[in-house]
Amino acid sequence: MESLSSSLRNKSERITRNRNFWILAVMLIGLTLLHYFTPQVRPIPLTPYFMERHAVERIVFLLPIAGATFAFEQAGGFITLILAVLIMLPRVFFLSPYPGDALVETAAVGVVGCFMIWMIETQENEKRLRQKAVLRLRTINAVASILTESLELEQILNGALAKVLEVMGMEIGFIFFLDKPSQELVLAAFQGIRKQSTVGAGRLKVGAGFCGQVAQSGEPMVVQGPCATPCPTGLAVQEEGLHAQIIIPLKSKGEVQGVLAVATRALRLFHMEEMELVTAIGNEIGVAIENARLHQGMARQLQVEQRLNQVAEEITSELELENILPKVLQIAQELIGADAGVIALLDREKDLISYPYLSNLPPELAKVTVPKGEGLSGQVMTTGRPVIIEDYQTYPAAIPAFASAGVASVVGVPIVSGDQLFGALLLGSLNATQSFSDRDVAILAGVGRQAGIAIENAYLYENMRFYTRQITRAQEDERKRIAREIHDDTIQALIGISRRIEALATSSERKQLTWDTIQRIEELEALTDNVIRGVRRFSQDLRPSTLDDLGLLPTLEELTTDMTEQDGIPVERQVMGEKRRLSPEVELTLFRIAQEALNNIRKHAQATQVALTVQFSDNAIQVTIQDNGKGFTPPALAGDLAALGKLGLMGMYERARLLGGTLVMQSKPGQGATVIVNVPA
Amino acid sequence: MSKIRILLADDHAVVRQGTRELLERESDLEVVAEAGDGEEAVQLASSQRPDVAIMDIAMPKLNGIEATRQIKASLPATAVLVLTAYDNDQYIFALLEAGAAGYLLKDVRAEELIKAVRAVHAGESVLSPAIARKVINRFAPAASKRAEESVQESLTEREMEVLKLAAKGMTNQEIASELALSVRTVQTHLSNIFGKMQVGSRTEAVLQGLKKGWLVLDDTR
Repeated sequence: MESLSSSLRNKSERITRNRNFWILAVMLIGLTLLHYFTPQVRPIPLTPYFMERHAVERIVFLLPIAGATFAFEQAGGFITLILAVLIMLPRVFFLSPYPGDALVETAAVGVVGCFMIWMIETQENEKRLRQKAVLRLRTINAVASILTESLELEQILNGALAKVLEVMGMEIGFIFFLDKPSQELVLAAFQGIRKQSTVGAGRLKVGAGFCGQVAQSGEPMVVQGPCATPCPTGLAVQEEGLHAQIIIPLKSKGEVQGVLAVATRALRLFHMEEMELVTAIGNEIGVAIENARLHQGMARQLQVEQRLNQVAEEITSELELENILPKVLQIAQELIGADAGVIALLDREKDLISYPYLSNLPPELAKVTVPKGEGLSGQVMTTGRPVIIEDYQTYPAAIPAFASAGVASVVGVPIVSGDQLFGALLLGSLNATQSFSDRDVAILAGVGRQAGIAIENAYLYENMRFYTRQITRAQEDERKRIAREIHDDTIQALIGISRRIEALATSSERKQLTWDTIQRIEELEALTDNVIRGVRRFSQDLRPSTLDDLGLLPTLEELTTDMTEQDGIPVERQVMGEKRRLSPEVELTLFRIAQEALNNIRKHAQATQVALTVQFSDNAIQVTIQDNGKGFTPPALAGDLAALGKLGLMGMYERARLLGGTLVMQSKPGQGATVIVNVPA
Repeated sequence: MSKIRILLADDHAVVRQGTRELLERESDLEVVAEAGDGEEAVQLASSQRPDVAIMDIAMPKLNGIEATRQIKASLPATAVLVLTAYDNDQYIFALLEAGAAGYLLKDVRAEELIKAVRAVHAGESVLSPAIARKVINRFAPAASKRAEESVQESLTEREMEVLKLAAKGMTNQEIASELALSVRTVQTHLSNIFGKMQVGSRTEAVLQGLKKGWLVLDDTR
């Protein structure tokens, strides 16, 4: 009762405020006056013979009727019509000389008036409908432009929601996403209610509550009155006193992407058009959500590809497994968003699995070893296929040490290269379970293969180095043997011969020999001495005995003295730091490198001065050989040396590397050359 | 006169036996010990305290140069003669630095060996002049840096004169005539010098003199 009278009061207020009302009132009053109070005049020649004198005024009454219909719609029109008829009737019955005609005219006006009202009303309706349609289109367009402004979902959803509320004339709205993997609705935007009321409505299960039902069915729903059934948004509903809601699914290509709910505190009925409008907007929002998701998906994919590229780069940029594998583990962890990870390696000889590389796990686990085939890593290695464990704590083959570290969900992939299995890459969550998608597994499998390649490369390289070292050692042993034999046997024999020839020339029988013979004997002696010198030098080149007996420094001294005396190139020697003996391998390698460098200088450099420096430091030794000869252009990569036919230089480089050291050659044509070898010792 | 007491060290038993026979034919020489490797040589030297030790360079366990170093550390008065395969400067420098009095070629003739033993015991030099020159040139530069006054003062003026002349490469006979002394007196002086400098041979005395800065390069010319 109250609301009725108050709404009447509202209406009357609105009407009296309208300007048109007063214009119409004035018109009516004016016409009435005209109808009744104009003085008698002569019959107007214009009036046709069947028309009553006041016919014109009667006809003019149609004007306010039309006006009222325009301004106040059908109701206003009819009220004015009735008023007009009532005003005209007195004249008909009491004043008109021809009441019959007057009555007919009045009735005619009445009928025409009705007709007119009907026509105007129809046209106005159409216009109103058209206007509504235009408004709807405009709203849809406005929402569309908001939605296409950006791909940032948060941003556009709020804007779209505001527009919907505006056009519907409602004040409260929610938008939920559908998270497909977990089948839950996640609150993405809300307006018109306090934030506290949204607590508890953050995630809804599909099928639960009205919103959940809409998500499940894919059909819109109208809810009148407060929610009776338990409604997850119920708390909000009851607190905020929502009375009417429209809930529509947000679809794209027929698939539900989310749910939109708009509500009002006032009692309200919803028209079909409003439902259609909201549904249309809902579809647009659905498409926008899908687009944003696709975009997110693409962005993530791009990121994944970049990370995979990074993994490949890491692997191909170096050979030290110690450096590669931890990085690979870390990247894999980031790629799938896992909490922790481990690389398990299989020792084929001992049939044991160990866990040398850990990420975000206690370091003690690195000491754990299990027999081949045990544990999750064992399963992965045995089957050669990826394995996902949802809850490690209840996994029967779980390794206690890992279980007590809090491992929850785990995904493991094999580390393979070709058909060789090296181990397994395992990633997982700690303390709370996590689900891993097929995509995650596929990405990880790729990383596992790359790790396998890295390990294979490292092993191959290590093998190669091992063999090279073996070969070099064999070569050196052979040289040593030959040198020793030459030294012990050949040279001794030659010396013996030389002595006996000498004895010939100085014997007491000398007087009996001719001068000629003595000359020849002395020539022989000289020749023999030459041979001895030559063989000695050859033996020294092959393997100097001083190297084993006395060490590197005396040997280098001998080497450089020979160069000065025999080739006439002065060599300046310098020793820095505390002298000490080094391992035979190091001394031999440094000697060979110096020998090769000096040989090159002798053969190619045309130098007139050489400087050889040996620098001892606590954990390394550095030998530098510099000459002032004609120089050369060193190739960019050491590997090119072999291609250029400079095997000697290549050998120096390789020998230094085998010891874990470095060799650098600096030279420019015309500016001499410097060889610097640095080896840990 | 007491016999010269000799230690033989060589890893070939046959060689040792041959050398022993050679040496013991001489009435003034006596072989008091034989060692088959470097370690044994050091042990026997310290227990027998020989006047002269004849050592092969290439020996198992401890090579000749190392053994020389160790023997000289505890027995500065013992003169060590090292046998080398041939004249390799580096080996010679190394063995002299270890404290050897001189070296001999491995295939040295008996007479030369005997002569060398007697000479080194008498304080004569056993290096050929050419080698002696090389050796002095090598050790001299380092020597000029330091000069220990303390022990120098303990050498008498006369003794310094003798040492300087020895450094010039003069034999005992030449020194005797130069200073108008008898050969025996020269030998006595040398003996005293060796004792004060804690060395066992002329070569060592000259080298030490150079290292300590008492003698400079000019003194050796």
